[in-house]
Amino acid sequence: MGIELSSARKLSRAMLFAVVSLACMSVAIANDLHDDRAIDFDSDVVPILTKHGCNAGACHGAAAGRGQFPLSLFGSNPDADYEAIVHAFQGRRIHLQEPESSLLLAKPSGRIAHEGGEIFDPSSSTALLLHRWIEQGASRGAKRTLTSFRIEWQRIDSDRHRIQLRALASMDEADEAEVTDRVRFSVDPSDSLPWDPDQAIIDLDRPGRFIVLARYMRRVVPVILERPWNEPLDSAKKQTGAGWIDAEIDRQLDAMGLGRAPEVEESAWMRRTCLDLTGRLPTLQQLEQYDAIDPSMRRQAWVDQLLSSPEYVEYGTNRMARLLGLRGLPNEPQVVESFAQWIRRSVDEDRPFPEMVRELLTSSGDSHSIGAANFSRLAGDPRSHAEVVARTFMGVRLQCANCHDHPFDRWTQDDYHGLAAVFAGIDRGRVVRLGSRGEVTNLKTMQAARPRIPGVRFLESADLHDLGVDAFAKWIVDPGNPVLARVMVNRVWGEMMGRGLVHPIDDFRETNPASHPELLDRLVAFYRSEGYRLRPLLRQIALSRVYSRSPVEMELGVSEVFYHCGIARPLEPEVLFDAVHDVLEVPSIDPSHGKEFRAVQWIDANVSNESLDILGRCSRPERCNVSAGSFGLERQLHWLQGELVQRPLLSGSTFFDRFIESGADDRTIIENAYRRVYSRLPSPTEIELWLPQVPASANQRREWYQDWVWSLLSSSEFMNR
Amino acid sequence: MPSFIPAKTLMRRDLIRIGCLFPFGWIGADRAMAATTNHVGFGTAKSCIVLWLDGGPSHLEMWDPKVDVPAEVRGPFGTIPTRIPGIHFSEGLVRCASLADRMTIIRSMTSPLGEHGLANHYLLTGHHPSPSIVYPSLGSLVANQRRGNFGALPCYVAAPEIRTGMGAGFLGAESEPFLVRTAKQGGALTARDLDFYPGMDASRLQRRREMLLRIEENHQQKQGTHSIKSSRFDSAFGMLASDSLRQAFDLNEEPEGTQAKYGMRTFGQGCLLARRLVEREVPFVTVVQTGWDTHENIVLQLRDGYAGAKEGVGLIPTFDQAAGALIEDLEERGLLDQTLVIAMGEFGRTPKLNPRGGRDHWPRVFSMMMCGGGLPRGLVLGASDRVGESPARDPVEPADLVHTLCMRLGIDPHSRIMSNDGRPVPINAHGKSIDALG
Repeated sequence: MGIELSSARKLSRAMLFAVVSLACMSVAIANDLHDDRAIDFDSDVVPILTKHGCNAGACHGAAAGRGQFPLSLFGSNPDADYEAIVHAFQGRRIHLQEPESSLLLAKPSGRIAHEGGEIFDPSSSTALLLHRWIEQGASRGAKRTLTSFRIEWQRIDSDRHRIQLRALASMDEADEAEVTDRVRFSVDPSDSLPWDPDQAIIDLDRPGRFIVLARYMRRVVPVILERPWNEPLDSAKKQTGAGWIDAEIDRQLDAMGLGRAPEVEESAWMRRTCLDLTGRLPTLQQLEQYDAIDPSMRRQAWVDQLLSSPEYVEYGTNRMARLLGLRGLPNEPQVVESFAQWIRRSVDEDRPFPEMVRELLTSSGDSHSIGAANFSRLAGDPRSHAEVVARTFMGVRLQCANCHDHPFDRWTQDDYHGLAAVFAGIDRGRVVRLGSRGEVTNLKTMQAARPRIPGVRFLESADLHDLGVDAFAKWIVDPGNPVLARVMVNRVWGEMMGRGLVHPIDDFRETNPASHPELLDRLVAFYRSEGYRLRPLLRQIALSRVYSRSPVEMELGVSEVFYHCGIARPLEPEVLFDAVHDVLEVPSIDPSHGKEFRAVQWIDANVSNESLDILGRCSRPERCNVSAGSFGLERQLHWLQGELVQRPLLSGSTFFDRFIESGADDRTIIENAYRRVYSRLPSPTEIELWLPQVPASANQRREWYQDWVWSLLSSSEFMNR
Repeated sequence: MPSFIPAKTLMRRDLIRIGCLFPFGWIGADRAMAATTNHVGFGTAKSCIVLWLDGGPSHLEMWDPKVDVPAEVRGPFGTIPTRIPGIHFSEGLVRCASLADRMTIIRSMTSPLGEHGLANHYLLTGHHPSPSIVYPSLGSLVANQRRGNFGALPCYVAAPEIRTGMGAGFLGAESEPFLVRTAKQGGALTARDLDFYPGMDASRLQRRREMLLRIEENHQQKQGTHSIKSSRFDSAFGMLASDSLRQAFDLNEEPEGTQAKYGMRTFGQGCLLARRLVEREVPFVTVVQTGWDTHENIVLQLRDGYAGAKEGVGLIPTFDQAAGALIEDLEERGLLDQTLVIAMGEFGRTPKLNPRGGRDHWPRVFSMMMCGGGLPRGLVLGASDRVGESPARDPVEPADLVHTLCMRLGIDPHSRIMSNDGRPVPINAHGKSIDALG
């Protein structure tokens, strides 16, 4: 089945081979291929297949393989791979007497038609390695363990933009050897940086922070490469740090040569903290009181006041309810009531988070009175339960590992189904019962899955003396286990700052390192020292300099990962809804019972409200639309012509209607409006702009104010925090 | 999952071409672009209608039925001949069969992605999903390109819902699809909030527009940002300034006979809406028909619609009626040659029926239908093997499909657009052109 090469082609091929092997030799000197060592299947052949993408999910690593030839995804199962390559298909993939005729070599090197195309040149070092392995008998070799794997890098030009990577590994604790040519390096997206995979040289063609992944055998290691901007900025913009949060942030900024944006105005900071901590705009009284406080303690006093207010509890309950998936069940309003009450109490008392988690995982009993039991009840089934727990408390997206080992991370099917097995024995009726008989099938083995703490260990019968759920809960709330604290700290940071240190916030994985690992560790240490309570953490972040930075766009292309400027965050739909009514002083009425309500109080994800849905209300964490804050056409039209804004605005009973009726002058009304909407006074320019425009006649004047207040409420300064 | 790039391609990859910065973030290309734009099939389609069959429609029960195979592969339905000699469709596609000589059928679509979210994304954007960047859908690309030269109507409309992969990704809010929902479950399709709120009129809208613009200008000046002379409400204001807008979305303007021809269900009405919008030169419309994820009982879901139905009202008859009416209508009005109609889902279904009388996900080979836009007529491209398991020849990946669609819609697939982290991103990195489609 091979292709006969004509003698002329053979000659030129030989010459080419000579030239290329000279080149290969120079590369080979850097590694250990030039001596006669035995090629090892696990540590040489399989990694080469990974490097060229042979065992990726798009090719032979797919669940059903390709062209009748399956390989384990990214070489996770060398035993099965050895079988498939050497013994399967009647051993035709390997030809011990004529190695170059082996399908394993002939197909990807282009000698024989290969659906996947020509993967490597017949004279490349890869071909050489496979050839040598087959020559040597295509044996498995003694199984060894990879005991260390690390990447070194160095700049190889004076401009400091070209980086040479070197991979070093040691097997069974022996000396390190270089394995660079057997490592799969990748950048995501794959074309985002120019690089030469054969030489392991990468070009940082623009400033920024880049993550290169190095994959070898079953390890994946992220390599963080940075190229500074060296941006020349006004030195006045450089601020002295205030506290350890700012020290960590500023250290990174300095290293990248980035300046900082100025802080927002005091009024804007005050507005932002009020929205972030209580979900409301500051009232006019609060604005006045704020000005009266001694400036040196103003911010601390303000934050403390917010954190001890009932509005903090109401807003905190809303957000916690969304996080925990609270939603109603038909004909059972008690479910929402009891769960909400439990959440509210926990937020009010600022209970330590591990305590709350333990209760959520292990509570049983009548869900109408035991609020925490509803978490298990609403989880639905063992697999959904496992996914929710993994996402919420471990910060991990486990679901890919349902059908195959996770392609981006280290989770295996045993992990996924093992965690589901932990939650299998739960009765989820009105009375929640743990410890019932139940199991899930591990789709890999098609047997009952063994309960497992993902990435850690299977639960043995000693653990199961308690329930599997108890053992898992014990592991996750253990003070020595950083997982829960890290996830919660990152979540809080991400919501306050606009971007998590690990981003996205529920995507902790080996291949997604934190942008500021030391800061994350210090925040976790702080959180722990404060008994895992939320209020101290919020306070610490709210009083930092980095939090108060203005979202000034400093330069196109500087990623927000460095926090050199603030990140403008749109108001959440419920908060926006309430803010409109608060500004206008017209309460919203719930049509179903005719009473006043605030959107923030609507914590049942299953109850829908048209306006909130159009605004992109996020009812379940996993269903959150990334663009919830962006204003597409549908939202624009609704804001412009729909009930939400027009009904209160044109009602005739707004604050400006009352002012008009009482005979107030335009300047007073304009100033009042600015304070309600933006928490500040208008500048002289702004007053000069609007005052002359106000019509004199009563009717036109009212209409003018309606349109003008609409534009204030539609401006970015109002809609962002 | 990390997408596989053969090492050789990477080595040949050019560095970023620097050109002038066009509006909307397009980076100009070089002579290669000229070669593309001079291509015969470039830009033949002014509009595109995607009939998105959400869930993964079975290729064996639609465009690629098998006859001489075991019963569990053949499935419960028979086949009917079509206007293309030698080609059969599944028995439910009556109208489509009579219009087959206008169509291009691809029977050798292939993809590695068998999960809905991932597969949706791949088909609708032409890119594998990536954790670090959200790619824009084809509709958003078109909206982004045409936006400047367009009038009041939105460039990209979707009805009755938006699925994964249809969004604008990093292109931002202006390129998101305009959603036309049903007023309530199964109700009429209505675009909301198009009428003036009582007490409002055009002049007041205009005043609001101007006031908001001044506020945003002042704000941007204070922030020191590059001032963009528009507010986030620009699209809405533009749309409402036109009268024809309201009419475009009012299906009651159509005679009853026409509405009945498309079928009174949401999908049929959505197709009718698509025709009206395309008549008014809206460049991209997506009509979604959900429910194709038939893991169980395909007789009920695909043909009958409800237990004991005498006349089938399931997914296939509904689709067949609406798609047939749409194609005929476009042809009658002389719009078919400049309108690309595409019917597809995210993958096919397992060649062997499962124990519940359904079929499960199968991305390895699947089919789709295209019509109009200057595409070849009466062409069947590619084939699956004897049992509908793998492509037998001419495999077409979703990246290749999107490559072709870009060309037809006048978008150079090799050009790049600026993503939101300041990096030029190729419109279509890994697709290759399909010669048979020109």
